[in-house]
Amino acid sequence: MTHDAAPTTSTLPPYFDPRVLANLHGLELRARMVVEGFYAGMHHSPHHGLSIEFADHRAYTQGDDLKHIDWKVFAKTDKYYIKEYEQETNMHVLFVVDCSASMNYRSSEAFLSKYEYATVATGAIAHLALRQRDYVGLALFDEHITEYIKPSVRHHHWHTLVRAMSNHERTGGTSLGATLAELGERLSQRTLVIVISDLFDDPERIVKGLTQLRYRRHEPVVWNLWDQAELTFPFDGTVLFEGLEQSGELVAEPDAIRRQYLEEVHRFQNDMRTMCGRQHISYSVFDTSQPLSVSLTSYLAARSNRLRQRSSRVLR
Amino acid sequence: MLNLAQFWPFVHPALAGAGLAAGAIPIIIHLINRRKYRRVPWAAMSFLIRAKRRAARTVWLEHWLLLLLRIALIILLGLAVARPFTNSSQLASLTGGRGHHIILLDNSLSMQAIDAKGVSRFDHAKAYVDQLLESYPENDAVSLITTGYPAKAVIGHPESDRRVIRERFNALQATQSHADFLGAVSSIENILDTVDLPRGSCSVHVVSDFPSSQILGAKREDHVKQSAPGTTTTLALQRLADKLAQSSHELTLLRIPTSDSENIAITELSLSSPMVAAGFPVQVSIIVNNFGSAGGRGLTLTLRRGQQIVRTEMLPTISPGQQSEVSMSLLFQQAGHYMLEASLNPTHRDALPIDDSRRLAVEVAARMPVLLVDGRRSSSWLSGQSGFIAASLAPELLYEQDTTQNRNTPIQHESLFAPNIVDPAELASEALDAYPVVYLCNVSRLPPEQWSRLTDYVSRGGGLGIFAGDLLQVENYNRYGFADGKGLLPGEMQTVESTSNRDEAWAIVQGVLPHPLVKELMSLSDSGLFLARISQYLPLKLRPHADVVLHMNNGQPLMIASKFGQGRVLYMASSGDMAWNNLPAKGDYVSLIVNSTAYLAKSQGTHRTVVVGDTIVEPLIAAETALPAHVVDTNGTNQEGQYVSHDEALAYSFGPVTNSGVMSMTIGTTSRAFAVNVDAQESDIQSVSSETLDQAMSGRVRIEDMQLGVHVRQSSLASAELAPYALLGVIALMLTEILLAAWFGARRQPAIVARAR
Repeated sequence: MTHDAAPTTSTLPPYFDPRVLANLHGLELRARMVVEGFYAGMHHSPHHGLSIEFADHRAYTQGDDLKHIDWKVFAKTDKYYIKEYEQETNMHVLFVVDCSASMNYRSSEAFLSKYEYATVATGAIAHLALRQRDYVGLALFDEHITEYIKPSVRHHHWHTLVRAMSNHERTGGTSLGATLAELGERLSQRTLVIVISDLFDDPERIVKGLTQLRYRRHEPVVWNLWDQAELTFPFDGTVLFEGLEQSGELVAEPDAIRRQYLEEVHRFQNDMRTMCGRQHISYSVFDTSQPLSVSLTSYLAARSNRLRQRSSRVLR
Repeated sequence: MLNLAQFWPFVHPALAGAGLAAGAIPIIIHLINRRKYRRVPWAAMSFLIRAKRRAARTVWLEHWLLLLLRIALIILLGLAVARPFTNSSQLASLTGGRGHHIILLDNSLSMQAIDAKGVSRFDHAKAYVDQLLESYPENDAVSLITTGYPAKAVIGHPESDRRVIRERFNALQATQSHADFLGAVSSIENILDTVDLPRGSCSVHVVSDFPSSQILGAKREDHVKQSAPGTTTTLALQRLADKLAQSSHELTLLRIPTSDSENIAITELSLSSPMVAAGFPVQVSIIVNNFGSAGGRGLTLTLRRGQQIVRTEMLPTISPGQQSEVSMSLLFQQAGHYMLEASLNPTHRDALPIDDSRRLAVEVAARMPVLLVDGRRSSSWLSGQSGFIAASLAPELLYEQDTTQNRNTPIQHESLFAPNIVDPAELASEALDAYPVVYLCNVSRLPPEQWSRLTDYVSRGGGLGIFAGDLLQVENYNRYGFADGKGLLPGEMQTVESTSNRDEAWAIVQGVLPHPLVKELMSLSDSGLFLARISQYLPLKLRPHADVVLHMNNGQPLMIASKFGQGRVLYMASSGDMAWNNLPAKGDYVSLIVNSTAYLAKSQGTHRTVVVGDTIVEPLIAAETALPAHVVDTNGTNQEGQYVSHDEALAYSFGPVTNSGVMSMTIGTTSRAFAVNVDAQESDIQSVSSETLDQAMSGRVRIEDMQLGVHVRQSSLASAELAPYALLGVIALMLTEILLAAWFGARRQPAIVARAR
């Protein structure tokens, strides 16, 4: 999912609009605003919550209750199969939020920095998840994990998460690959790992970390945040670019190198998209100038997608 | 000596330097722009670094290419404004043509001025032109013009044969004549008109000392009477510059070095009176000018008559730029042809010795016959107009009349004038050419054929005086004498004005500018002229160019002079006797009549004093036309002249005369001496500075000072302006820069497009 598919700002309720959110002070207030707006929109949603989740088929054996025979499978295969259900357990969700210095970037035309955008989205989705009694955890990282809050379903857990994100300093570089490897060691439950970062790290190391999570049966989802200026490079004249992660300074004429820069950005996104696709990892690009509804629906889509995949595997 | 133009061939070298310096402007702008940047915090530095690394080579190439183009553009523009030039031959050969060089070499008298080493300006000029010729490419054509009057096209066509050019050039010599730039320029124009020359392929070099008197005009014109207007030279050169500029050809004035130019010269030798007669003293006027910047001390002036030294005088010190005028009284005992020569014996070095002497041919007459035609010829001398006039001209006649009572008896006269009184009817039988002056005194009317004779007589140099009187028939005078402004009379006759009241009689008053004829008389406040009273006069309605000699207090002219052909006419509105005025009773009447006669008198022998470059012409009388004639020039060589028509009569001529000195023309057994002098204008050998010359030429030509001992500079060669080519280059660079900048810009992705992605 990319922001290409996102609805336009003008048709959305104002709760998702970064311009509106930028006028609100405090992450908690911003996140609540988004969630309230999202709930208002759900009255018209066809989605309904599932309490019982289909698990698997097995061959009929004597003594099984006939009411569990799947007659549709019998009609197709002429064999008796028993449908097995499992009570849907509460899901574990871990938000891995990049708090490196580069996430502080906010162009002159943007209303939220990449970090602000990430935390608002995280806060809103965490609120949703906690309402659904999902376990929600948080890992903040730069060059390593700087803060880790285990997934929990407690009532006041949301405030803990929000406070952690609000008070965190953002000064270091980005080392996502190492962070993901470390997380894989820590997580014991099967967890939906939502990585929210600008991914300014080596793509191969990032994908390697993601793959390791995948091997441990976790479900990584990558939300790649970009400021609109980073996607368009709208500068002119002679500009001295000051790196935010101690990456030095660079004098350049944007007009002269714009084409090459945009090619580099697109190549990175394509590489990430390709490598993640090979590992069945969801990779999405977010423009921080776009409304937050995109990230919320993305989360729900990812959740339902996981369920559909399980279902299709049984039917095959 | 280091010459800037040799290494820096620009008309405006300073501008060229500024143009080069201006080449730094794009670099400075580039450096300033590099320092003027915005600071932008940036997260995606790794992408930026990779992008810049990828674009570095292209960007570097684009930057430097545009920068170099802009530097070249500004430098070339600056150089174009500074007007670069090069050897036009090289330019012509590059464009497939061949160069044509026209050398205008001044070989007039001033070029004979010598420096301290005894080398003349002309020798310097020849040495320089020699180098010029050597420097020309083999295929280039050369034309050669000299300015010594009359200007001569030594090679009047594009000549490529070096042998012919060398022969003609080596044979060139300095002349004693004045510079004829007008004729020389005409010769060049003739070449340009007849030869099809590609644009910019021709160069003209004028090699001269450029005397200030010729460039700026005769600033000492009070002293240099024979000078032609100096601006003629300037105008001729300007005209040439304009014509050459039309075809992009180039004119270069090469100024000969003239550091040593001390010269003292006799610029005038003349007689105070046109009438020279045996036994009557005449004043000889000699003017000596110091044209140098020093000297003028201890000069001795010697006046010779033939070979005999007449007077020797020490001159006072003449300051530089000043003159000294010496007047000597001279008496010719006998009538005949004489040669006067004034010469200086300078005690200092003189750059131009040839003008230290001057000659004058003098014809001394025994008597001057004056014909008086009286309309009322009287037996008494003092009762008729002619009587008064004759008595004024020859007082001894009055004495003779009183003693012998026979006025026609030949006696031994002592007066210069020999008046002959006749009736109007006798005029037809008189040979007018025998009389330098003819007076019509109260003549009532003349038949048309006599008016025609008089008209012819005056037009050939004769003098006619007319005195009014009661007999004059105005209609006859106006019809044949005035002839609607085409006749002899200086105006149309009106009606007689008169007053019977003695107190109302008109007096003669002094005019604002006294006529030379009465200048001396008018300068005397007690002159008898002012005491005279006019009771009657016959006024004229003056025609243009008539000069009033005497005014009356009623504003009317009394005596009027005018020129007609080569002669003069004098009209006295009142009578010559006591009938209409009492002028004859006043003492200065005699002086007035004598001066008038001298004014009217046909000058004798003045045509035998000429300047170098002139043609000597001697009118022949009928008896001489069949006689053999020849001329002995100033070198003593016999020369053949030619018979020509002169003033509707036959004459023997020779010329143009090339050297100063004494020439003689022998017709039959009679010899006439001719004095040949150098043009006094050429004596002023002070050259104008290059700056003044540039101003006089309005900056339209290139001017160079010739440096002796230095090889011909490249810039002195036939050169061609490169400014048009440089400007074409500027335009080409400008277009290239615009196209490249647009192309480079198009290759870049504009920011607006990027925003839309």
